[in-house]
Amino acid sequence: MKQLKSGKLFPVFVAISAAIVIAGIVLFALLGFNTAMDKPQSAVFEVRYDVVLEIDGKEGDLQAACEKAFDAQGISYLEKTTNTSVDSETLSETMDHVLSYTFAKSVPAEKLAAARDAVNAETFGDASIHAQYHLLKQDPFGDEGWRGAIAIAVGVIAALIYLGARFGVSCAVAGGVCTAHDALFTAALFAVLRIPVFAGAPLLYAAIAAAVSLLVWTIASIRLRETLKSPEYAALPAYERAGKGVFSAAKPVLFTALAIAATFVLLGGIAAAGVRAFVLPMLVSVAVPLYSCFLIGPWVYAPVKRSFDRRKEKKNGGYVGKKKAD
Amino acid sequence: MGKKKSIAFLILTTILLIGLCFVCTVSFHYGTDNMYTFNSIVSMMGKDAVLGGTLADGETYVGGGYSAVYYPDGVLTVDAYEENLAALDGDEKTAYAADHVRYPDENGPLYLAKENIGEDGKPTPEFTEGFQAGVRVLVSRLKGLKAEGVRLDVCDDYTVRVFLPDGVGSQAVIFTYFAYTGDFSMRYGTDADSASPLSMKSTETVRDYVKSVKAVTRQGTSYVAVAFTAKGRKAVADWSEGAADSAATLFMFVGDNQMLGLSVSSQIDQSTLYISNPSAPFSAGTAKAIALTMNTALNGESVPLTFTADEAVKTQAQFGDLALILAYAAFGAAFLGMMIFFFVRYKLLAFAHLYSFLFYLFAMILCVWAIPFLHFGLESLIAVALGGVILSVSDALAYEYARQYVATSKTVETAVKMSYGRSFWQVFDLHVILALFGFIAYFAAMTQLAVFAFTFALGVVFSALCTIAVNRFHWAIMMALASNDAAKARFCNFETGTVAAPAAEGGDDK
Repeated sequence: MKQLKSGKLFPVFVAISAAIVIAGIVLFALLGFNTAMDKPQSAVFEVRYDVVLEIDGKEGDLQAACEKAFDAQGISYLEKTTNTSVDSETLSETMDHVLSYTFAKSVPAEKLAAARDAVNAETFGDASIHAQYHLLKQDPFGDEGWRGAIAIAVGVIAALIYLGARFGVSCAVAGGVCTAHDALFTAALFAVLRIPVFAGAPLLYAAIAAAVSLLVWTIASIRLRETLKSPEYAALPAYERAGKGVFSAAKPVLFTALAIAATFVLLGGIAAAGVRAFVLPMLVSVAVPLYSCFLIGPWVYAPVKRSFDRRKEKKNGGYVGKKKAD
Repeated sequence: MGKKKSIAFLILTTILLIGLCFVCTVSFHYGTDNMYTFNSIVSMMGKDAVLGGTLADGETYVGGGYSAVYYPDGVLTVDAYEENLAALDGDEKTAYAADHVRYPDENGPLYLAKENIGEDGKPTPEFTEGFQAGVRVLVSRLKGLKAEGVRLDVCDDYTVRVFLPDGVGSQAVIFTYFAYTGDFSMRYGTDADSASPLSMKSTETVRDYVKSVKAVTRQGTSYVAVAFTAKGRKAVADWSEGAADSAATLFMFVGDNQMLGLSVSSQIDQSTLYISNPSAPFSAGTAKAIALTMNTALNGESVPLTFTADEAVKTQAQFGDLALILAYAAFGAAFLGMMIFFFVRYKLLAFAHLYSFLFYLFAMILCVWAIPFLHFGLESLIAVALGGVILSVSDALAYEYARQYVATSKTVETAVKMSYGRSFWQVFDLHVILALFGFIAYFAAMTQLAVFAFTFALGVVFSALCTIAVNRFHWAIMMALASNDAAKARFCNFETGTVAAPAAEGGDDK
């Protein structure tokens, strides 16, 4: 703990962060994120059937026939839904339905074709059924990512200008480094660990990391300013003061982060599977700002603050301001 | 504040909160045979399609969305091909069969017209490029909707499957109009067939006459706004010069499809023409669909193929039908956990936080209802939850400062004042920084991130109002209910005089 507070391990943390961010950028450039949650490539097996099948109560038989055909081919589906057919011009229901099975893209088309032929060969009384398979490839709407990254950057810069005006340039610089680190580190972690996410979600996770980072660094800055005003810290070296100042905010920062994490755990824990897969990775967006707030921020703040103080001292000819009354 | 006044205010704000809670969340049937329905704001807004939706009026399902498949000219499903083939006889049947090739192989799900197949048995590069151009135009139109949950899949290499969530609205119009390809053109005359087109020089394009087409909504009415260049303005003014004597129509086309027909009874001499339909006013979605279709035809790339939307289905919500109920349950659990913490740590003072939190929550619900582009998706729920956490932390900060002052033998009343004095600028700075981030990120972001950023910024603003004003107000009126300082300290679960001086006093940070 003492080593953490003194900043001796700062270069180690910088090396870890740099390694992960660089690896993340390289992997993102080569492979992108693992957007498996969105099923960017999949196969769907669809059976269109008319109202007769529904009236005859043979929908279960149709499903059983489909699943028997899949078993015969040794393939298994990921998801099953029953949708209602509508007119594309009016969206009024046509009374037909579509039974839809989603498969992984790795399922061979020949096996799906064989299953289709097997299902189409079945008869279900007077009902009309048509089975077919389709291979889908999602278009990820490319440039949204760049727009989002610019949006986060511009939002952070605006927030930091205010932070700088209220808490000093040193706080803004350290906050900028922390926030940029958190947004990049969060996105990089998803790229490196290949965590399955929805397309666009890593950007949202990066935005949440930036917001949480601003939140915890502002709390730390508030406490840092209080600490620096306190005469008992005046004699300490800049690094030690910065460490002590930020670590004195540990309680409110941890309390805030814990509250956010608990909310995400509840929202993800009591949720449908897809929502859980969307929300629980947000815990990374809470953990990363904590790491940067305590282990990176103070040691960026200290040299910047010292350099600004020295410049100020030089400019004022040694005068460092009116001594605060005890 | 006196005790009676405090009780009166407390009753008033409680009634207000109950009213808000009722209006926002309670739906019921009433009247003879339950003929009428009172719909709560949450059930009415129909903005929870992504999370599963609800039964808006007890009958209509709101949730999920619609998907349709776009087929380019010369591409058929196996079913459509077989249906067409069965309707033909003899030579026609043979010719039709000879004109089509199953794709990608003899087991494939599509038939392609033979004219689109090259000598190598694969689709020709021209056809493939034409299809890809169509996809690019469709993508730019769908992006222009700026709606979350919209999805486009290329299906079997040569068809396109588009999903539009229920919250987007006007899906039928969007499916139909977005299929239109071809160049943008304007004609003027008494009917569409005989109307004369713009007389352009060979070096000119329609872009020399029309700058852009946008959808605008003013005072509840949606318009398609067509902006002309100076040349375009003059051309339309020349066209319509004699309109007062002989009425005619200004037609706007995309390819061969008529998008708009504006009856002209007097000369038009405007740089921007706002077009609406007085007999059947455009919905915002319809105006947007028309404007996006026309604008991409005007400024986008040329698509040589025509598309037809077909095989539309109403699909379930992305996360299943239970997602919304489970999200509410999770919110309830988080709310309960928060209140347990506040009641354990601050006893009856937790009511002050409860009131401020409820005001925050209902303000957010009303905003999501009133602001068209906001909806109950995962991003907005996360943003509302984050705003709630910031509010709770800010309230707890003021309470903790007060606890510290009471511990140094200050009276509760003085402690409350001092804690607010100490925390005001801290809370203010925190909220300004986060709101700036949210609002500015919103202006540059698209869809998912834009919804999150805006809802988050809004949540931060309401959090600031609730913690600075509502919480302070309720704390003050609740304190007045306790008879003396000891009772006030017990009310807040504060221990008096346990330490000599506050741990770290920053004072007023102004």
